[in-house]
Amino acid sequence: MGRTLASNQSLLVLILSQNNIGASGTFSLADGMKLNHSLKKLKISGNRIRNDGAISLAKALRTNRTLSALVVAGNKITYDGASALAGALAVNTTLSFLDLSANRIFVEVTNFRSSTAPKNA
Amino acid sequence: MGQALKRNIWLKGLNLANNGIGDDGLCQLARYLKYNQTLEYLDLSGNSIDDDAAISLAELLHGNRSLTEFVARRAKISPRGAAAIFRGVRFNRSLKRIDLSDNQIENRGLFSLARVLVYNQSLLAVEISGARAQIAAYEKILSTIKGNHSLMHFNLRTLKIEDAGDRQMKKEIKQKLRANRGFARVRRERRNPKMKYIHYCAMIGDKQGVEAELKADDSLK
Repeated sequence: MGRTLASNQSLLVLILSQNNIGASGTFSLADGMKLNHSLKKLKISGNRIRNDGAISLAKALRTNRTLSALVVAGNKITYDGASALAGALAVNTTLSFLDLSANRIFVEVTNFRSSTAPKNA
Repeated sequence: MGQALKRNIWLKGLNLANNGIGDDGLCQLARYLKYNQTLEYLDLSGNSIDDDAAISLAELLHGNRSLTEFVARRAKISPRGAAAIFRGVRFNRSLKRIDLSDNQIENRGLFSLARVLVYNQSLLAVEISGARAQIAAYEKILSTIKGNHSLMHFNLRTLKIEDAGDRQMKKEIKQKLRANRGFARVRRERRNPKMKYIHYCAMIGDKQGVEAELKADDSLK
C-alpha cells in the first residue's frame, strides 16, 4: 500500500476506515505519504494505529506538502501520539483539518510541548 | 497541542470530540487558541466542560475573530457555563454557528442567549436542542429573535418546559417560533429547493452561501 502510494501521483482521497490497520500498516502508509505529492485527504478512522502509528504519521506530515485533511478518529491514540501530531503541526503548512475525535488523549492534551515530539523527520 | 496551535497558521478545523479532555486541558487549549487567527472550526463535543473551562472558552470566543463554528454537544455544560459562553459570543462578529445541544442550558443560559441575539448580527444558526427551561425564558428568546435579522436556523427540537408540562404550551411555543419573520420565510418555502439549500447553508454556518443564493435570486428577498 505504502509503495503504491509513493509511486501513484494522482490519487486525491484515500479512505481506509474500519480496516483493522495496525501500527505496522501505518508505518508503510506513512512512508508512502512522504514521497506522495497528490493525496489531499487521508481518512483512517476506526483502526488500531495507536501511538506508534500516530508518531509515524506525524513524521510523514513533517515532510508532506499536500495533505490538507487527516482523520484519525477512534484509533486509541493517547497523549504521546497526539503530542507527536501536534509537533508536526508546528512544522506542517498545508494541513487544514485534523480530526482526533474519540481517542484517549485525556486531560494532558494541551500540556505537552512541541519539543516532546521527535525532531527531524 | 496548545503551543503548536499557537504557532500553526494553517490549520482550519480541529475535532477533539470524545477525548475525555478535562478542565485543565480545555483551559490551556482556550488560552493558546486565543493567539490563533486561522482556526475556523472547533469541536469539543463529549468532553467535560465545567464552569472554569466554559469561562475560558467564553474569553476565547470573545477575543477570537476567525472561529466560525463552535460545537460542544453533550459536554456537561452547566447553566452557568452556558451563560458564560453566550456572554462571550455576544460581541463576536465571526461566529456563524454555535451548537450546544444536549447540555444543561436552563433559564440562565436561555436568558443569556436572548441577550446575545439582541446584539449579535452574525450568528446564522443556533442549536440548543435538549434544553430545559421555563416558559418565560423561551418567550424572552422569541421576542428577541423578532428583532434579529441574521439568524436563519434555530434548533429547539426536544425542548422541555419545566413549569407547564402540557403539550398545548409546547405547541404554542413551537408555532410562535415558526411565525418569526427571520426564518419563517425559510420554513414557509421549504419545498422550494433553493430555499432548502439556503436553509442548509445557514444550518452549517455558511454565510457566504446564503448571501450568494439570496443575491442570485432577488425574488426571495
